[in-house]
Amino acid sequence: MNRQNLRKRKKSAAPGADAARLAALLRDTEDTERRRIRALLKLPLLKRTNFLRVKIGRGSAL
Amino acid sequence: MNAEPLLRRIVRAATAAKLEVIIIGNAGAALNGAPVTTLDFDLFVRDTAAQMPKIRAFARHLDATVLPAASPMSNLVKVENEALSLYIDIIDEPSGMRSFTSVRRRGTEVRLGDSPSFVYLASLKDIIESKKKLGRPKDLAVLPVLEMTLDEQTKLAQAEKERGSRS
Repeated sequence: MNRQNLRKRKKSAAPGADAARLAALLRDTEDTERRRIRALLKLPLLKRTNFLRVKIGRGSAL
Repeated sequence: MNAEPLLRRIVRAATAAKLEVIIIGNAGAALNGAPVTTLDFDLFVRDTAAQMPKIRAFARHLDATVLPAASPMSNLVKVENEALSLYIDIIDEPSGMRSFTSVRRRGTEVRLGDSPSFVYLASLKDIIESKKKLGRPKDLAVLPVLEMTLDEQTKLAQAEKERGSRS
Protein backbone atom coordinates (compact mmCIF):
# COMPACT_ATOMS: atom_id res chain seq x y z
CA MET A 1 0.00 0.00 0.00
CA ASN A 2 1.49 3.32 -0.97
CA ARG A 3 1.65 6.35 1.32
CA GLN A 4 -1.27 8.13 -0.38
CA ASN A 5 -3.62 5.20 0.15
CA LEU A 6 -2.57 4.90 3.77
CA ARG A 7 -3.37 8.60 4.32
CA LYS A 8 -6.81 8.08 2.74
CA ARG A 9 -7.55 5.12 5.08
CA LYS A 10 -6.56 7.14 8.13
CA LYS A 11 -8.80 10.04 7.06
CA SER A 12 -11.84 7.83 6.47
CA ALA A 13 -11.46 6.07 9.85
CA ALA A 14 -11.31 9.32 11.85
CA PRO A 15 -14.90 10.61 11.49
CA GLY A 16 -16.38 7.27 12.61
CA ALA A 17 -14.12 7.16 15.65
CA ASP A 18 -14.98 10.76 16.52
CA ALA A 19 -18.70 10.03 16.27
CA ALA A 20 -18.32 6.97 18.52
CA ARG A 21 -16.32 9.01 21.06
CA LEU A 22 -18.96 11.76 20.99
CA ALA A 23 -21.78 9.23 21.43
CA ALA A 24 -19.95 7.67 24.40
CA LEU A 25 -19.42 11.12 25.92
CA LEU A 26 -23.10 12.03 25.52
CA ARG A 27 -24.11 8.68 27.06
CA ASP A 28 -21.77 9.34 30.02
CA THR A 29 -23.18 12.86 30.41
CA GLU A 30 -26.76 11.59 30.44
CA ASP A 31 -25.86 8.80 32.90
CA THR A 32 -24.19 11.32 35.20
CA GLU A 33 -27.19 13.67 34.96
CA ARG A 34 -29.61 10.83 35.72
CA ARG A 35 -27.50 9.75 38.73
CA ARG A 36 -27.64 13.36 40.00
CA ILE A 37 -31.41 13.43 39.55
CA ARG A 38 -31.89 10.09 41.32
CA ALA A 39 -29.76 11.37 44.23
CA LEU A 40 -31.88 14.54 44.40
CA LEU A 41 -35.12 12.55 44.30
CA LYS A 42 -33.97 10.55 47.33
CA LEU A 43 -33.70 13.75 49.38
CA PRO A 44 -36.69 15.15 51.27
CA LEU A 45 -38.26 18.07 49.42
CA LEU A 46 -36.88 20.73 51.78
CA LYS A 47 -33.34 19.49 51.17
CA ARG A 48 -33.47 19.91 47.39
CA THR A 49 -32.60 23.52 47.93
CA ASN A 50 -29.13 24.15 46.51
CA PHE A 51 -30.60 25.90 43.51
CA LEU A 52 -30.27 29.59 44.24
CA ARG A 53 -27.84 31.83 42.36
CA VAL A 54 -26.90 35.15 43.94
CA LYS A 55 -26.93 38.45 42.10
CA ILE A 56 -23.53 40.14 42.14
CA GLY A 57 -23.65 43.58 40.57
CA ARG A 58 -25.20 43.22 37.15
CA GLY A 59 -24.22 39.60 36.74
CA SER A 60 -24.96 36.54 38.81
CA ALA A 61 -23.01 33.79 40.47
CA LEU A 62 -23.69 30.56 42.27
CA MET B 1 -26.59 29.21 47.71
CA ASN B 2 -28.91 27.10 49.82
CA ALA B 3 -32.48 28.34 49.41
CA GLU B 4 -33.89 26.51 52.43
CA PRO B 5 -33.85 29.47 54.86
CA LEU B 6 -35.55 31.70 52.27
CA LEU B 7 -38.04 29.00 51.39
CA ARG B 8 -38.94 28.64 55.07
CA ARG B 9 -39.47 32.42 55.32
CA ILE B 10 -41.66 32.39 52.19
CA VAL B 11 -43.81 29.55 53.53
CA ARG B 12 -44.24 31.27 56.92
CA ALA B 13 -44.95 34.68 55.33
CA ALA B 14 -47.51 33.28 52.86
CA THR B 15 -49.31 31.43 55.65
CA ALA B 16 -49.28 34.49 57.94
CA ALA B 17 -50.63 36.69 55.13
CA LYS B 18 -53.23 34.02 54.18
CA LEU B 19 -51.89 34.22 50.63
CA GLU B 20 -52.40 30.99 48.72
CA VAL B 21 -49.39 30.45 46.45
CA ILE B 22 -48.02 27.74 44.18
CA ILE B 23 -44.26 27.60 43.56
CA ILE B 24 -43.61 27.36 39.82
CA GLY B 25 -40.63 28.10 37.53
CA ASN B 26 -37.11 26.82 38.08
CA ALA B 27 -37.40 26.97 41.87
CA GLY B 28 -40.44 24.68 41.54
CA ALA B 29 -38.54 22.41 39.15
CA ALA B 30 -35.58 22.20 41.57
CA LEU B 31 -37.89 21.30 44.47
CA ASN B 32 -39.28 18.58 42.20
CA GLY B 33 -35.74 17.16 41.97
CA ALA B 34 -34.42 18.77 38.78
CA PRO B 35 -30.76 19.88 38.87
CA VAL B 36 -31.44 23.46 37.75
CA THR B 37 -30.62 26.84 39.29
CA THR B 38 -32.39 30.19 39.47
CA LEU B 39 -32.08 33.70 40.86
CA ASP B 40 -35.65 34.04 42.02
CA PHE B 41 -38.84 32.34 43.14
CA ASP B 42 -41.88 32.41 40.84
CA LEU B 43 -45.18 32.21 42.66
CA PHE B 44 -48.59 31.61 41.06
CA VAL B 45 -51.55 33.31 42.81
CA ARG B 46 -55.23 33.49 41.87
CA ASP B 47 -55.53 37.17 40.93
CA THR B 48 -52.76 39.67 41.64
CA ALA B 49 -55.03 42.74 41.61
CA ALA B 50 -57.57 41.25 44.03
CA GLN B 51 -54.81 39.82 46.22
CA MET B 52 -52.76 43.03 46.55
CA PRO B 53 -53.58 43.56 50.27
CA LYS B 54 -52.43 39.99 50.97
CA ILE B 55 -49.36 40.43 48.75
CA ARG B 56 -48.44 43.58 50.73
CA ALA B 57 -48.88 41.69 54.00
CA PHE B 58 -46.74 38.85 52.58
CA ALA B 59 -44.01 41.39 51.70
CA ARG B 60 -44.21 42.98 55.17
CA HIS B 61 -43.55 39.57 56.77
CA LEU B 62 -40.44 39.30 54.57
CA ASP B 63 -39.31 42.91 55.21
CA ALA B 64 -39.52 43.19 51.45
CA THR B 65 -40.54 45.86 48.96
CA VAL B 66 -43.46 45.42 46.56
CA LEU B 67 -42.73 46.56 43.02
CA PRO B 68 -45.91 46.71 40.99
CA ALA B 69 -46.08 45.69 37.35
CA ALA B 70 -43.89 47.73 35.03
CA SER B 71 -46.70 48.01 32.48
CA PRO B 72 -50.50 48.03 32.79
CA MET B 73 -50.56 45.02 30.42
CA SER B 74 -48.67 42.87 32.93
CA ASN B 75 -49.99 41.33 36.12
CA LEU B 76 -46.51 40.58 37.40
CA VAL B 77 -45.71 41.89 40.89
CA LYS B 78 -42.19 41.73 42.28
CA VAL B 79 -41.44 41.31 45.97
CA GLU B 80 -37.80 41.92 46.83
CA ASN B 81 -35.49 42.09 49.82
CA GLU B 82 -32.00 42.75 48.46
CA ALA B 83 -30.31 42.33 51.84
CA LEU B 84 -31.59 38.75 51.92
CA SER B 85 -31.00 38.19 48.18
CA LEU B 86 -34.70 37.42 48.03
CA TYR B 87 -36.37 38.00 44.68
CA ILE B 88 -39.94 36.85 44.13
CA ASP B 89 -42.09 37.20 41.00
CA ILE B 90 -45.81 36.88 41.67
CA ILE B 91 -48.00 36.14 38.67
CA ASP B 92 -51.62 35.15 38.13
CA GLU B 93 -51.59 33.86 34.55
CA PRO B 94 -48.45 31.82 33.95
CA SER B 95 -48.09 30.72 30.32
CA GLY B 96 -49.23 27.21 29.58
CA MET B 97 -50.88 26.74 32.97
CA ARG B 98 -54.61 26.36 33.27
CA SER B 99 -56.57 27.37 36.35
CA PHE B 100 -54.98 27.91 39.73
CA THR B 101 -57.21 25.16 41.14
CA SER B 102 -56.15 22.52 38.60
CA VAL B 103 -52.41 23.29 39.02
CA ARG B 104 -52.84 23.16 42.82
CA ARG B 105 -54.71 19.84 42.59
CA ARG B 106 -51.87 18.21 40.65
CA GLY B 107 -49.23 19.74 42.91
CA THR B 108 -47.97 18.85 46.38
CA GLU B 109 -47.84 20.68 49.68
CA VAL B 110 -44.53 22.07 50.94
CA ARG B 111 -44.80 21.82 54.70
CA LEU B 112 -42.35 22.89 57.40
CA GLY B 113 -42.29 19.87 59.68
CA ASP B 114 -45.37 19.66 61.87
CA SER B 115 -46.12 23.38 61.61
CA PRO B 116 -49.40 24.39 59.97
CA SER B 117 -47.48 26.60 57.50
CA PHE B 118 -47.44 25.41 53.94
CA VAL B 119 -47.46 26.47 50.30
CA TYR B 120 -48.12 24.43 47.17
CA LEU B 121 -45.57 23.16 44.69
CA ALA B 122 -46.65 22.74 41.05
CA SER B 123 -46.10 19.32 39.48
CA LEU B 124 -43.09 18.98 37.22
CA LYS B 125 -45.44 18.15 34.35
CA ASP B 126 -47.20 21.53 34.72
CA ILE B 127 -43.86 23.37 34.97
CA ILE B 128 -42.66 21.65 31.77
CA GLU B 129 -45.87 22.60 29.92
CA SER B 130 -45.44 26.21 31.03
CA LYS B 131 -41.82 26.35 29.88
CA LYS B 132 -42.77 24.85 26.50
CA LYS B 133 -45.44 27.52 26.07
CA LEU B 134 -43.11 30.34 27.14
CA GLY B 135 -40.57 29.12 24.58
CA ARG B 136 -37.82 31.60 25.50
CA PRO B 137 -34.27 30.30 24.94
CA LYS B 138 -33.69 30.06 28.71
CA ASP B 139 -36.87 27.98 29.09
CA LEU B 140 -36.08 25.67 26.16
CA ALA B 141 -32.51 25.19 27.45
CA VAL B 142 -33.68 23.48 30.65
CA LEU B 143 -36.38 21.33 29.01
CA PRO B 144 -34.16 18.24 28.40
CA VAL B 145 -33.12 18.05 32.06
CA LEU B 146 -36.71 18.64 33.23
CA GLU B 147 -37.96 15.85 30.92
CA MET B 148 -35.21 13.57 32.25
CA THR B 149 -36.27 14.36 35.84
CA LEU B 150 -39.90 13.61 35.01
CA ASP B 151 -38.81 10.30 33.51
CA GLU B 152 -36.83 9.41 36.67
CA GLN B 153 -39.80 10.48 38.85
CA THR B 154 -42.07 8.17 36.85
CA LYS B 155 -39.62 5.24 37.12
CA LEU B 156 -39.30 5.80 40.88
CA ALA B 157 -43.09 5.90 41.35
CA GLN B 158 -43.43 2.72 39.26
CA ALA B 159 -40.75 0.93 41.32
CA GLU B 160 -42.44 1.98 44.57
CA LYS B 161 -45.81 0.75 43.25
CA GLU B 162 -44.30 -2.62 42.36
CA ARG B 163 -42.65 -2.91 45.77
CA GLY B 164 -45.99 -2.06 47.42
CA SER B 165 -47.91 -4.66 45.43
CA ARG B 166 -45.30 -7.37 46.29
CA SER B 167 -45.43 -6.75 50.06
